[in-house]
Amino acid sequence: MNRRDWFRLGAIGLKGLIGLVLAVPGAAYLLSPLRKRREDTTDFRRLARLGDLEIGRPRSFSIVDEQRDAWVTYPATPIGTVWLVRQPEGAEQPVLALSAECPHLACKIKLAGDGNGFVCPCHASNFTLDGSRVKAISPRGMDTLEVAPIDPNDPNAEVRVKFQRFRTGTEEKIPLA
Amino acid sequence: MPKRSRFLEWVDARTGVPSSLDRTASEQLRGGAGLRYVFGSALAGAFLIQLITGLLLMASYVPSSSHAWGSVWYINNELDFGWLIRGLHHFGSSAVVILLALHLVQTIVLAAYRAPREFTWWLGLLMMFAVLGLALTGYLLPWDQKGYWATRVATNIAGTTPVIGPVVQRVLVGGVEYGNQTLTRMYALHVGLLPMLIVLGLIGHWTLARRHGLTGRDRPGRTDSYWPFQVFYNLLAITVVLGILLAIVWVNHGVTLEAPADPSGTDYPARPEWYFLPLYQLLNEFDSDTEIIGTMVIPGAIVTVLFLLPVLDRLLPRRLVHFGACALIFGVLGGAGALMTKAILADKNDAAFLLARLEADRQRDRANALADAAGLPPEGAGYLMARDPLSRGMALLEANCLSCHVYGGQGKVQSQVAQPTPEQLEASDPSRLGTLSGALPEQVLRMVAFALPDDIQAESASTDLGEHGETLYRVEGRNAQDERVVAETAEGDAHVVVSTFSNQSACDLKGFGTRDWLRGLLEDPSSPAYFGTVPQCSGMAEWKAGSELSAEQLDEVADFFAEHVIPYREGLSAASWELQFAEAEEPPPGYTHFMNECANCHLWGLGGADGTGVDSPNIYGWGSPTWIRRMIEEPGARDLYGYLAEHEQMPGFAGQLTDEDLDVIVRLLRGEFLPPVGVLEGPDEEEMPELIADQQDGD
Ligand code: FES
Repeated sequence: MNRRDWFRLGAIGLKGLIGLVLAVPGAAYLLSPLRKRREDTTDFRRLARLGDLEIGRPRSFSIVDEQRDAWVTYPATPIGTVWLVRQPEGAEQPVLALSAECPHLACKIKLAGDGNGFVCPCHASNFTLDGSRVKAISPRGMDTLEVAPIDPNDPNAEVRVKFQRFRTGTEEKIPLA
Repeated sequence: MPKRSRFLEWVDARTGVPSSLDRTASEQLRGGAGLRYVFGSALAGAFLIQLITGLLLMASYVPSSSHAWGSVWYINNELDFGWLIRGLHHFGSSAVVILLALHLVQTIVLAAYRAPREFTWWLGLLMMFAVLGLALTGYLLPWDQKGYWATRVATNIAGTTPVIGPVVQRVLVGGVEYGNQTLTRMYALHVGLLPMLIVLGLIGHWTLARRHGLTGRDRPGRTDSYWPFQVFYNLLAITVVLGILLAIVWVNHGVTLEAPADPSGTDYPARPEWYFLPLYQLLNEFDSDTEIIGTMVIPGAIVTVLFLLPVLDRLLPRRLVHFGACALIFGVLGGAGALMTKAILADKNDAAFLLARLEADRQRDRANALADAAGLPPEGAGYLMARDPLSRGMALLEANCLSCHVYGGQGKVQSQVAQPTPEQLEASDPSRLGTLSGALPEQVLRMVAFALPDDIQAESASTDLGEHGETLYRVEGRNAQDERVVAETAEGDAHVVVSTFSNQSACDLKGFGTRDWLRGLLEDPSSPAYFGTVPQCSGMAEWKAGSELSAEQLDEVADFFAEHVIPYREGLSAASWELQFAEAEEPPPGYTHFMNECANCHLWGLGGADGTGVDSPNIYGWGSPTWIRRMIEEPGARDLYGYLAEHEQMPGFAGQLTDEDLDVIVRLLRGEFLPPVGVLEGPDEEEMPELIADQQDGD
C-alpha cells in the first residue's frame, strides 16, 4: 500500500460513512409506516340488544369511531358496517357478526333482494347468510367478527362486537393492525 | 489515464462526461492536496445534506396554514428519526451560512475574485443570496409562532424598500393577510426556485473553478492529483461538518417547535435566526425615519462593493483594492459579531423579553402536550389552543371574570416590568415609600419607587434568598382601589416586576358546576371560595346556620345533583323532570333532603323574588353547560339573579363571547381539560388518565 492507496481507501471509507449516516435515519424515517402499528384499542362495542334481532333476518349496524389521520383527529364518524345475524335456537353462538367489507376488494356488502343471502355489488359476489361464498369471486367468505358471550335466553342481553379490518384479496383472514 | 470499459467509451464518445471527470480527477495540485482547499467542497457538501434532508421532510410536510404545524409536529414526534432529520436540516442551515462566510473570507483573502475568475466570483455571490433566501423562507414553513412573527418582520422590511417595496411585499405575502398563500409562496421559493438556482449556480461555479484551477499559494515540493488526495480532504471536511451537526442535534434533541402561529397574539418575542441577528440589531440602531439606512443602505452598499471587486481590481491599484476588500470583509464580520452580541445581551437584560419568552415556552409545551394527547382538530393547529380551556379559556377568564372572581384562589394578576434608566433612577424619590426607607438598600428603594405607581401605599418590605443565592427584594402595598400590589426585584437586576392582584368579590370558579364545588358550598357557604365575599348572596349562609342536615345527608344532596341535576337534558321541562322523583315510591335521598331544606327558596324551574321575601335563583339544571352559559350571558334574568338590584348583579356577557368561547370557559370551570404537564405527578394522579380519556372522546 502506498500513499495513494491510503488516500483512496480513506476517501471511499469517508464517502461510505457519510452515505450511511444520512441513509440509515433517512430510510428509517421513510419506512416509519411499516413499523408504526396502531395500538390495539379495538374493544367490544355494544351494537344492539339480543331482542332487537330476529332469527334469520340480518340487520346492519354502523361502527362509529374517532378517526386518526396522521396528526389530525376527526370526530366520531361511521368507519364501517357490521351485519348481525341471529342464529336459530340451540346454535353455539346466538349471534353471528359479519363485516360488511368485502374480502375481495373492499366494496360494501349488501343484503340480497330476497333477504336470503348477501351480495357485493362491485363484482357480483354472493354469500350465504352464514357468510360463506356462493361464487369463488372473493378469495374467502365474509369475515366473521368476534362477539362477546351472550346469554341466549335474555332478550335484553347486549350484543357486543369487536370490529376489525382484514386484508383484502387473500385466502387467509389476516387482521390489519 | 485509467483504462475505460467499452460502455464508458461509448458514453464518452457521445457525452464527454467520463473524460471530463478523469481530467478533474487527475488535475494536479502544486504544493500538494490539503485542508486549505476544502471550504468550497464542504459548503457544497453541507448544501447537499440540506437537499437530502429537505427532500425527506417534503415527504411529510404540508404547506397549509391549518396543517403545516401539525405535519411538522408529526415529523418531530411521530416519525422515526423525524426529529433527527428536521434537526439536521435546521442546524444544517447554520452550517451552510458559516461555511459560506468562511469560503467568502478565504476567496477575498486569496484575492481569488481577480481575473480570470470574475464569473466564478459573481456566480458565488448570487448563490449566497439564494442561500440567505432559503434561510429566510424556511423559517416560516413550520407556521409556528417563531416563523410567523419573524416572517412578518422580514416581509415588512421588504415592504419599506422605496418604490417597489409595497408591491414586492404584497406579492410575497400573497395578499395583505398572512396565510395559506404566504405559506405556499414561501414554500415554492424554498423547495423550488431557490434550490434550483443554487444547483444551476453550483454547476456553473464548479465548471468555472475546474477551468481555472484552485487558487492557492504555490508551495514547493509535492504535487498531488485531485483524486484521491484532495477528494479525501474534502470528504474529511464534510464528515467533520456532519459530525458536528449530529452532535448538536443530539444534544438539543432536535429542534423545538413553538406553539402554532397565533395572529391575534401580541406578545410573542420574535427573533430571527442567529445569523440574521446582526441585521435585526442594525435595524434597531436607527429611528424609524432613518431606518432605511439600516435595512437597505448599509447592506446594499456592502453588497455593491463586493460585486464590483473584480472591476475595481482593474481600475485601482490591485494591492490597495485587495487590502480594502480584506478590511471590508473583516470589518463586516467584526461589526456583525458586535451587533449580534449587543442583540443577545440586550435580550438577556430585558425583563419584558424574558417574561414573554417564558410565556412562549409555556404555550409551546402546552401545544405539544395537547397534540400528543389527542392529535389536532380537523380545522387545524390554530384551534389547538383556541379550544383548550387552559389556554384560550384561561385567557378569557382573566380578561372577563377574574377582576371579581378567582380561579383556584388566584385572581387577576397584572404584571408589569419597569426598567429605569440611570437618569430616571436618579430622579426617583425613595422617601415616598415612607417608613420602609430604612429597610432596603438605597439603590433598590430608588428602583421600587420608580416602578410603583403614585397611588401606592407601601406597607411592608422583605428580603429573601433566591435560587442561585442572590438576594430577592419584595415590597408590598395597596393601590387606590385597595388592590394588593407587589414589587419584586433581585440583587443585580436592573428591573422591577410589579404585580397587581385583583380583589375578590365573587366565588372561586375552579370546579364550578361539579359535585365537589357544590359539596363545598353546602359545607361552608361563607368561605371565600363560595359566597364569603359576596354579601348579596348571604342566603346560603343563613340556611346553613339553621340547617340540620348531617354530612352524609349533604353528601346525598350532592350526589343527587351529580346524578340528576348537572346532567341536564335540553328541552325537558322542570316540572316533567321533577315528576320522576315526586311520584317515585322511593325518591333519591338527596331529593328528599332538598325538598325539606332547600325547596323553600329554590323551587325547581322557578327563581327570582317570589313574594315571600325569599329570593333565589332557579337551579334546575345547575352546573350543566346550558345553565352556566345562561348565567354568564344573562345573570340578571328574572329567574336567575334578577331579584338583586342592578348594581349588585354580575354583569352579563350576552353577545360578547362566541359559542366556542363560552364552551371553552364552561369546560375550564368544570375542569374538563388535559391537565398541565407536571400535574400528573400530583396528588390526584388517579383521576388524570380518566380526564384525558374524557377529553379525547368528549369532542
Ligand atoms: S369487491 Fe366485492 S366482489 Fe369485488
